[in-house]
Amino acid sequence: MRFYTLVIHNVLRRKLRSALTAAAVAIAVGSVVSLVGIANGFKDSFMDFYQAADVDMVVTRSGSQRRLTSTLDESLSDKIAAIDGVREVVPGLADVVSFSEANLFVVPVSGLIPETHVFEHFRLTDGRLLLKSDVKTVMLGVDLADTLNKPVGSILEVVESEPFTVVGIFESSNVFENGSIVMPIGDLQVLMGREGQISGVSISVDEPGNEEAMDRITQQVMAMETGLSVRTTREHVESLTEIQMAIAVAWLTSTVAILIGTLGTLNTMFMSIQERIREIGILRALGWERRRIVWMILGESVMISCIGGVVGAIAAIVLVRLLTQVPAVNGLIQGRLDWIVLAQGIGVALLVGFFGGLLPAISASRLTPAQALQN
Amino acid sequence: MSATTEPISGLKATTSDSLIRVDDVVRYYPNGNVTAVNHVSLTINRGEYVAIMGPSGCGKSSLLNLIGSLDLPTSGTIYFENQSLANHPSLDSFRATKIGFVFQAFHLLPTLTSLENVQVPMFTQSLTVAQRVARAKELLDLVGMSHRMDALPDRLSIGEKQRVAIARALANKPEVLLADEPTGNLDSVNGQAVLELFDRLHRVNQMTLVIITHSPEVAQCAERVIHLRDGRISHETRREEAEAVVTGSA
Repeated sequence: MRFYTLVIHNVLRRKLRSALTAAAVAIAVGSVVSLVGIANGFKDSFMDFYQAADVDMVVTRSGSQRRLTSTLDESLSDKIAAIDGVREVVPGLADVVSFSEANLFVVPVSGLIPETHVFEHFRLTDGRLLLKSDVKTVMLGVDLADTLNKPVGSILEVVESEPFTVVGIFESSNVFENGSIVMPIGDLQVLMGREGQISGVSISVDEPGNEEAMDRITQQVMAMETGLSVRTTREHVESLTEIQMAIAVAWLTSTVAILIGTLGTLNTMFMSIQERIREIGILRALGWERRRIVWMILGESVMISCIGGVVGAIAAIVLVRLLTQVPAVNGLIQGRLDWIVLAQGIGVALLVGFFGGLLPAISASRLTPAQALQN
Repeated sequence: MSATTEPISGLKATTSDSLIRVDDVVRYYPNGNVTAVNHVSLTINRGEYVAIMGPSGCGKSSLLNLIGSLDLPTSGTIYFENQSLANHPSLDSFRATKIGFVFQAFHLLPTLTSLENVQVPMFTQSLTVAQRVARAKELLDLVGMSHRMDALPDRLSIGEKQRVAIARALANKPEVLLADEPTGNLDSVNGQAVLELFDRLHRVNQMTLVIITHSPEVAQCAERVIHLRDGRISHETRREEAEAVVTGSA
């Protein structure tokens, strides 16, 4: 018999109770893995978007982490384009619309200048890209077109009584875009009453790896007017309120689940020890040191938690895959459950097991053998 | 059980000198305002077979717990091999290597087989799994339980449970076996088998035994009987005197 044999026997002694505790831990780990995975996927999706569009820097209104609230004068893009080392500048306007009949309430709309290089990353599944000569036309992301059942050639009322013709269906590496509408920036400005305004400017530079050149461009843009924010693509994505909120909400929700899991484990281990005080007294009488008792009980709680962790991680993978198929989320979530997220989940399980078992273990080890035997 | 004339493996024969010395020991329990052990002094020699008798609540188990370092005295000192237990660097290690406990209620771990239960004390020693298993099998054979080594405690009769418990007590080759009412839950046949095993441990291996009992028949197996009353030693008798008590009460 090995030491862990005893641990396994003790865990299996109350199978239902151990299973319920493992289930509580599984919920905690499942929450961490799925929510953090979705949040990370959200962030990666934005990074993919900018990288696919060959964007190196982004200019927005300082203090406006949300693209929707960032407002710049569209003349700024021409000034930036004149800076030495800037290869291309693409102004963009972002807004949202809703399609309540399809239960879609936050559908992003991007206004872009047709026939610029940012359109190169759109992979057309049907129809064509927008043209400068187009009037009241839109391209739909593949998920949105599918949800709204709008093929190429159909009419879409982007807002009430404002019909647009669908000229193309596209697929993007950015899951956010797959659920969005793209239209000429001029049309969007008129539609939203934001004539002359843009949300931000995407800049492609000649030498993206040249930090000195990037710093110089940044300084020159900043000098153009006060209140501008110039960030690299990664800095911009990480500063986005949507991303920060998604990650914060993911961890906040996970923390609640982790606390519940820890309390569940704590309760189980205390109950288990109460039932086994005399046994612990026997082990102490037989010469087991306090630390061996602690290791035994911690081993039990960590084992239960690890089982819960594995179950939770598997459940999270299944859950995220199912969620991404639900039309209501319109392809807005894309869980990226890489090994780091899964390792975080298992790490949470280990911590839950450790902290859930630590107090009961110390409590049990403090009993004198005589006290425990008299129980 | 195995033949009764061969020494039990690993339990070395020893000479007769002072092994345990209890010096003016008091154990007071403040919660119940009870003095369970009241200024007790005694000496147990190496290889001696001692029984402690007395009515319920007289402090027998408390005294045994103090001798086995399961509990600490309120005052006074207990010496083992002339070393004070109060100054012992590790009482856990002391119990693991010097003391074997046998309890009235056996206290086997319910989820472990007989073979596994006997191995439990050996985790405190630097033994390989194979060494633990071999030693446990040897001890189960000694107590006549090798045919039940894979049985869980709830599948054992009470006599079998106590024999497994004795095998467990011998796992680390202790210097002294402390038994608290070892036959208290056994019928006469199983009780007799346990006493015969104790007798063999004492006679052949010259093991030191201290048993607590209510029973004069059990006490007469010991060389010396210490009588406790109200936490104090009232008197001591030798084996011959105990036999006389049994004869007189028959």
